[in-house]
Amino acid sequence: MPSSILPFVAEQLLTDIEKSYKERSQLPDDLLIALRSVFGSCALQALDLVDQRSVTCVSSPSGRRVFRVMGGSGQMYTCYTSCHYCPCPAFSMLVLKRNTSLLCKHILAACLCQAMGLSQQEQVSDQDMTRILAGQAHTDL
Amino acid sequence: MSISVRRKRKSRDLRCILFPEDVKDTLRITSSETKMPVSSSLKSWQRCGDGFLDTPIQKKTKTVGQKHATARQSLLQTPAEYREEPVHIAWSSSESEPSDCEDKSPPPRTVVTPKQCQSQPQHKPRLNVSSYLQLLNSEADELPAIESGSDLSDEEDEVRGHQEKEPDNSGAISDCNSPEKDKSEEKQPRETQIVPDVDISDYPSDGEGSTAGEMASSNVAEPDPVDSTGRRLLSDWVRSAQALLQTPQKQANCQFKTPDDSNKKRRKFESGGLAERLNQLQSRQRSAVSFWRHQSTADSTATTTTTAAAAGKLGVLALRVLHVQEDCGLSVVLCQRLQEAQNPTEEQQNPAQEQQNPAQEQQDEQEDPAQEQQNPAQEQQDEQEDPAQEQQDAVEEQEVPAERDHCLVLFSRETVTHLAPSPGDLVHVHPPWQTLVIEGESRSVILSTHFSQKVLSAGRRNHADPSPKHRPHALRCSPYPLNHSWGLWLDQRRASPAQRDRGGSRQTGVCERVWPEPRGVCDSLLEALESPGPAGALEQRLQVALQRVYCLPIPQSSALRLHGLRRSPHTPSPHTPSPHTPSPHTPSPHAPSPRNSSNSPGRLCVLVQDAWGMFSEVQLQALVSEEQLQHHVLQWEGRSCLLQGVKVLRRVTRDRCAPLFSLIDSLWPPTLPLRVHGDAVSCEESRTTAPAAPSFCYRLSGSEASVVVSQELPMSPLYLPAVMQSLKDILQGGKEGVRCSFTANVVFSRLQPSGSGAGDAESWLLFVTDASLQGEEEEEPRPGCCRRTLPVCLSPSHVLQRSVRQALASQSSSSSSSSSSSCHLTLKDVLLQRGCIVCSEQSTVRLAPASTGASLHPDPLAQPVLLDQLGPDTPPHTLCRLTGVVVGVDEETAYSWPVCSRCESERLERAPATQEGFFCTVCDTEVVRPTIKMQLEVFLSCPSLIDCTIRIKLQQKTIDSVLSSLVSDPAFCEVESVLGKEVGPVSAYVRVITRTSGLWVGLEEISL
Repeated sequence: MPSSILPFVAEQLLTDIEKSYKERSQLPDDLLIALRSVFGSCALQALDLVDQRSVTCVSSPSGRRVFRVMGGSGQMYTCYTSCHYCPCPAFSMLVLKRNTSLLCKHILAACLCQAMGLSQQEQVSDQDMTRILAGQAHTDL
Repeated sequence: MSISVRRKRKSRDLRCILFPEDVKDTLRITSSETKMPVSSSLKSWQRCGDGFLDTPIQKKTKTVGQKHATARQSLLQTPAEYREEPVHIAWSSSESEPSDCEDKSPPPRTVVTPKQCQSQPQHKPRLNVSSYLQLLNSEADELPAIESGSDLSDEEDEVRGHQEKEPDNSGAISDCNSPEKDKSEEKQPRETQIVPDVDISDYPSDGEGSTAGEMASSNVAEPDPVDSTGRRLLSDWVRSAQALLQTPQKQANCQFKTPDDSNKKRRKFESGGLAERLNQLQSRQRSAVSFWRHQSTADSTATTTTTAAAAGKLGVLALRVLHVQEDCGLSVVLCQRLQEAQNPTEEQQNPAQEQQNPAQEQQDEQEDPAQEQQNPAQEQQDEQEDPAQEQQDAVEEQEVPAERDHCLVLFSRETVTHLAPSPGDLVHVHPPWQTLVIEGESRSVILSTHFSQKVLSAGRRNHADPSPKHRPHALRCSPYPLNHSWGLWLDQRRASPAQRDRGGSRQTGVCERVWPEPRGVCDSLLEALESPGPAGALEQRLQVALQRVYCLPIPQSSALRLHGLRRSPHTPSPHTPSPHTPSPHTPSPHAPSPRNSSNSPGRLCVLVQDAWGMFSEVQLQALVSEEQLQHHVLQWEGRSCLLQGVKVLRRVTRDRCAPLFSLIDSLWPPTLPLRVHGDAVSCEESRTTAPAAPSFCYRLSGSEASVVVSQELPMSPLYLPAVMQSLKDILQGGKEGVRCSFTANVVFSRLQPSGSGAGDAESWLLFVTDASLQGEEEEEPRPGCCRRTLPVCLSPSHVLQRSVRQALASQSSSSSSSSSSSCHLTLKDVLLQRGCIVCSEQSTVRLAPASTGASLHPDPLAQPVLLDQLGPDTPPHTLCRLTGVVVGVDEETAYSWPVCSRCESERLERAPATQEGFFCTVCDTEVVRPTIKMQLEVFLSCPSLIDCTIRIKLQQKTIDSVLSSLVSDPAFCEVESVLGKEVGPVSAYVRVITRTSGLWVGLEEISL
């Protein structure tokens, strides 16, 4: 099986987005079009999440970090910094099962927010972080 | 899955299962478009007996009307399923299927949707209209559950959307869930199912739904021969179904089945957010793609070579497909960049190259200009050159592929279904496309390849069937490892920001290939607007023709602000009149109050037109003086210039801004044949068929430095100067709402009382005439046709220049005393509305130079101005002339008052010393014998107007003449002594005409 080129494309694109946003604090149209071209329908949904500032970067004193992305109806999804995974149904269906998508909108939103510096920062205790990583924390955090 | 979906699906879950014996009947029945007899299904049902008792399928026959809706859905859906996963029959033996099914190899089921057959001829024309709206609407009908979805269901929608496109697994799931059904199918090996609703089968958690939908597509793809009774009919049907499924219009449907479409409809994005922007871009792109695709398929059916003809344009990427692989839903195609489309000049310069490539040349010769017009995004590529491109041009097509010619092209799923790229194919990618250069990767990546077309060379055309059925299945990439992760990127990005900047000689990142250069000169307004820079400013300089220069009123609030902030860069013009110079005498209430005359004449505006015919109004700086405006008019109008540093204020449409568009219409059609978007050279055909005037234009804002007048050309070839007409021509030939220009004499002017009475809102009513209206041949009045004078309304939206205002004021003030002054005006781009000239925003009114006025239109005021005789058809607000006999006096409105005998001021005070005298506070003298002024309105009997009440307010002069015979004090004269006196001929302004109970005319005497 050949290896995938798309992650490199995506990474370069996100780098461009970060650079462009740093310079003009705005995303030009061609980058939006490129996002759409690479990520398909995910791009629109992820940008919507970015607009709503749904991404929170949670960190704890131990140095662990996760991204928590609030879905449309308040469902919280935890995206990990050290592995490519999101617990949302779309990820399991489109990425894991079918391999028709590189990522889900939550991961993309987390990446975009991080690239543009739009993620909200939150400090939690190590215990809370443990609960989050163990999947026991819900929307209360 | 929400409950509403379940209910809906159950309510629709109506199906008939037919048996081998019934197959023939059914097919015959459906083809004859009759309703299926209830008895046949009941009979089959009974014959089947217990075998079906367990299957939770409701058996019901449906009326044709009921089936109609579902048939439409299956029409829309089935091709999608079929095309998305052409080999998914292999999935029927997937891991989730029970093993017994595999062993016994489930019998072929041919699923017939009779409605499909029935409705096919009816629906075809409907589907031929490939309108997005329609398709989206039909989709909305189909997926009602999305509207009520929670976030979870949102995810499921997404997932389900993919299931619909790739129904493999769900088929397997439902197979597992209804093992009884499989068994029953074994018993009836050649059953034919009537499937009322394909999307029932997409419901994975519902065991009752069979896999009918999926099997429908799979069996259609590879039909198995059935027994002698059904074979022929079935194969016929299958063939027709295949034809149906391969109809291009159907294929277009599938792209709307993507889940993002339905999500987009449901969600409202944050206003001004990134998602909203992308959504707009996306929908614009989508419609552009569909339009382009529609046109290109229509063209390719007509002549196949037109696809190659597009290669004659620069910016079209010619690619040879080397390798195709499927990568996370996209197709990553390794391509060799071929010699790109030469432009004609290059072809001439390199004849040897032409000989080497005769096929290409032949295709280029058959280039159809219409074809190029059809590419909406391909606007004006000819100026564009980039170094890489030129380099590519030098490479021969047949050359040994070099590594640097390779690039990776990402095709979306939709594009792939149309393109079906396979190794060896020649593909043209039309702009706009994007290039992404990845660090450490030698091959560039081509993105946004929506405008892609497969080029069929002559030799391969015969067997080049674009049917997706024959598409070789692309290699799938290995899934992205979960431990590599985006998290890694996130962390790395934080850890070593410098590392990313080490970038080599190559510039990485997305670069838009479409636009020539970021700060180049562009001659298309729309194109410049497509790539606005930060804060909406146009980055490119725009070459335009300055059609008109005028000034617009500045709103009161901003006028104050501008007044405070205004810093004139120039020394004030010596001609600038000192502010607020009141006329030496302002006795008339019609005279403008000095307060009305604001310091700033208004904002300088230009109406520009680009080479493509597009107009825009550019609002520039506030003017300091009237002379500045005149200077700009002389210097700018008609020239070609470069616009720079302008921002878009708004887009205005014909409905919203009718005055502006009436001016644009007067400048249409242009003098030159316009260039047409998508066409490299201005084509000759456009000369014959003038395009319609634009229905929208843009308002831009700029500063003084925004207009850089070109010094090379004296006049722009696009410039259409205003044509001076005579008033007679305007009245006779002019249509409503048409702009016209003329020079005329003002015979009478009055300041209309404005509604608010505040600020600059002053409205003048002028009566103008010229030699053409004063001609001798117009002795007898022709009703409603040609009049002697024409009313001109200067609306408050028109900025009246100071010189004009002063001229008018002096005329109106002096008119009472003498008729010596005349006001000669040139009015440009005024509107003709209901027989009246209206000066609105874009009109210009200035004092006519004496020389031109005299040469073109001899001053008609040399002799007394002729007016129309008052008649029964005289409209209100006109001037007329009449004679009559006084038949009555309005005693209630008659009064007299003393004025100063020297200055005619009314500000008299009774002198304390003398009993008789007055003291004038204006001229500061004692007035012994004041002039007595009178107000008198009389009723006249007019020979030209029988049975009509004519009431006229007389002027002092006429009053004096009427009362002159009376010896006694005129202030105390008897009414009877006035009756029977003859009045006139006098000139009068028709104030009001009522026709409710007989004709009643209210007049006011004027002096010209």
